Amino acid sequence: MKLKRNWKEIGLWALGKRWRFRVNNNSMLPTLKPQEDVLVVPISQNAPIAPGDIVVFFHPLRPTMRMVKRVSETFYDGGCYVLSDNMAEGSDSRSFGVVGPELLIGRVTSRLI
Amino acid sequence: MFSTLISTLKNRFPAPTVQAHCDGPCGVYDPSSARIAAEAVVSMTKKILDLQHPADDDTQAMAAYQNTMSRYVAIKEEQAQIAKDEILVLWTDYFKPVHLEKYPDLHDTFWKAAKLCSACKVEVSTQHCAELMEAIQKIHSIFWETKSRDVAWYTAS
Repeated sequence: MKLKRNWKEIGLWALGKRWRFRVNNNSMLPTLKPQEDVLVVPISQNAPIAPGDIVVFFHPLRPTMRMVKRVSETFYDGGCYVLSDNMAEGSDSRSFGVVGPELLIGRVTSRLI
Repeated sequence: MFSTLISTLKNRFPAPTVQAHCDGPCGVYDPSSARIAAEAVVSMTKKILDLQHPADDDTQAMAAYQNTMSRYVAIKEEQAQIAKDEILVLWTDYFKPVHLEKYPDLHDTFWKAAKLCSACKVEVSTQHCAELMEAIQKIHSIFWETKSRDVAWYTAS
């Protein structure tokens, strides 16, 4: 489930079609390291998320905090159940429950450099 | 060369951060906060049972009695709720599925401990208080075992 660098995505970022986010902390190791930059495509009707995707979303209990986790299950309403890659660290849907569709920001498509 | 340039640029124009963690993210957990609250409940239960009822015609003593009794009850209620909250935080935030494999009765232990907090809050029962302290002692030993640390059980009172 390694996240690769994708030059097409980096090009789309340069055109303003992707967002850049910086990862903090260890819960997505070994996939994402702390202080690594990733590119994110906004969630849309055309590209629904699937289990295995890495998503950026607002914490269900702290609306100002953005989180990054891996989708484990998706639901008919567009919500999803998310888990950390590094199970020992970080809280995820096991503690804060399902992430509603309105909290999803985007899907991680590539790392930047 | 290229990567140094990129990382300089990356740091020069920082992207908004996304947390691969949360909860503070301090990760500081200790069952002793539940133990301290539970000890207060035990102490208040004993005090409620020991408080002497004054003679019916002594208005002043009766007022003092009522005042002290309501304070004991209020503190017992409050501390039982705190104990319950602390136990629930440990259960839902600290313990992970890996722990459940090693301690299959983990859910049952926490569920019963939380129920005992409610029982001690509602009742004036030394029996349930003793059971609550036992439950917290059990949680204490499981908790420190998961951290591979030998922390002896002790009480403040």
